[in-house]
Amino acid sequence: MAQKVVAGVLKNSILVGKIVPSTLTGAHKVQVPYFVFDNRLKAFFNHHQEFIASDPSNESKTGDVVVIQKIENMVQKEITHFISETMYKCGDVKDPISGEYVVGSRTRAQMKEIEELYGATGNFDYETAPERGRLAETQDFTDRPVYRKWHEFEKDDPYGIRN
Amino acid sequence: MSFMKGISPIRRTTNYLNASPLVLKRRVKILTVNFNENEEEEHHKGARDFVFWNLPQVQYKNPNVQIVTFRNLTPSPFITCFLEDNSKILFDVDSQSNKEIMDRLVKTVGKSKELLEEEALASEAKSNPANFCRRLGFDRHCICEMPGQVPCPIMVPVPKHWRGKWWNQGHRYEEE
Repeated sequence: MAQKVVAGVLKNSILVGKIVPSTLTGAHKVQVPYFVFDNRLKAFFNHHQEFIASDPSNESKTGDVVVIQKIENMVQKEITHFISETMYKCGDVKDPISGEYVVGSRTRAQMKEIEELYGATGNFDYETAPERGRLAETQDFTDRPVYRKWHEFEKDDPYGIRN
Repeated sequence: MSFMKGISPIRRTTNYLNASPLVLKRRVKILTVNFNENEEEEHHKGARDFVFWNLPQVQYKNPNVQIVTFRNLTPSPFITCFLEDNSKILFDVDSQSNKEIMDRLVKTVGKSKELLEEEALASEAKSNPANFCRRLGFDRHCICEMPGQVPCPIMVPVPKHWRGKWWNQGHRYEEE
């Protein structure tokens, strides 16, 4: 039975990944994308590996793109890495070159200018809006993984979805 | 070329993949490319071409570097290199062609041509398939396992008169 070969990339001391929803407390599950070369097709295919990383600063949430670093002396067997840097916060992406908050191909300032020109009212205001996490248990269900539900129970679990 | 399906299948040939001059220095562990996919954003075209044409080459030459692409996150394209001491190098590649980006990367974080040639010479000596010793990573442990050669003395004792010990101890002068 051929042993599964772990890609050399995953043994690196630092890796980049995205925090995915998990039921862990005190640690985050980070999904790290890496390419595997198929020798016959001579092409690279995308693979993912999940690592459990502790968060010393306690600021990271699901959806953030982070840099994780290998822990030298592991306290717990499962927690192999720790989050050393947050690259992009989900929803509050900061352009490292200009230092401004951006949304896709526009900066927030540009978006506001366009809104003012159109005379839009009642749009989402980034400056006055509170930090992400306000609607954590009520309308934002990204902290834990969701599942498909097949039966309607008396108490509706918001983490069960019908699609 | 076989199985040459897909867009620009020349990218899937070993000759093409080996043709990149960019071999990243050992301390570079992660390379991330941020660019936008919208065709109308001309200043991203160089970054888009770099990802389409050159990224497979870079990953082929640097299998232990994690390469990640981020699409449609920021208005300007850039490349980030993360080094093993947790520092990072940012390359602003706004309106640069993929050739310019490649040259810039080779100059900043790539190994020089002379160093690559030295390494190629050194690796040739190591990977010579004519060498023996399984412990050092070669395929064969001894010439005794090749058909047509003298079999291993563990299995079949070597004729006495072939042994230097017998020869030098004077047994060759004995009359049988």
